[in-house]
Amino acid sequence: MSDKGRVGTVLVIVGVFLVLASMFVFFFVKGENFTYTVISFSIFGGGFGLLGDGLGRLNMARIAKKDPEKMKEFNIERNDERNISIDEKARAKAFSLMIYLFSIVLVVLAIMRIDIKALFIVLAAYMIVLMYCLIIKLKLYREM
Amino acid sequence: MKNIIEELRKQKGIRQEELAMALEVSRQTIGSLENGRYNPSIQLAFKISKYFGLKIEDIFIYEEE
Repeated sequence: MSDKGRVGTVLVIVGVFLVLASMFVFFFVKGENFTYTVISFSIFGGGFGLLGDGLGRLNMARIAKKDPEKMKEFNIERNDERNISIDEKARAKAFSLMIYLFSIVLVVLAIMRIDIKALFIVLAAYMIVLMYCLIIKLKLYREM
Repeated sequence: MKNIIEELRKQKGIRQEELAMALEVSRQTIGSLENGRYNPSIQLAFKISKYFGLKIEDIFIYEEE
């Protein structure tokens, strides 16, 4: 089995385990405990994510083994510089939009007088995104 | 940027798919290059010039804006 196949198998196993574990917590751990509910839903979501990723990797490993020509075409399509450029431009535009949307959402939430802690969480997420952008910019200025 | 890729490809008698395979890019990229809608990276420009056995400046026509 290829590396991709091995990683896929591990992800599928971990994913199934997490989904089952979250269902167990959700159905069998009694009580209206909010933390249990949040944890079980989070693990359920994460587990399904890993399961999906694992199945995708297994499928790619199967195609690579069965039809190398198709796999080559797939890799060309994925690494095609025009596709990458389009993807990057679309992300950059979406990021610019997100910055404006985040600001508007912050103002709207403040007007709605939501809990100050919730507002700070959103503000912190906004600041993290901006800081990350700045760090990447500085890194690229040095490297390029 | 204008170029003569389509002309060179037709002279060689190959399809866009074949050129795309040789240059390891998608067929759509070849189409966009030929139409002048997409400017290639310097690596791809070198690959193209090497493939056709010509200089980059013989294939791509630089026009000042």
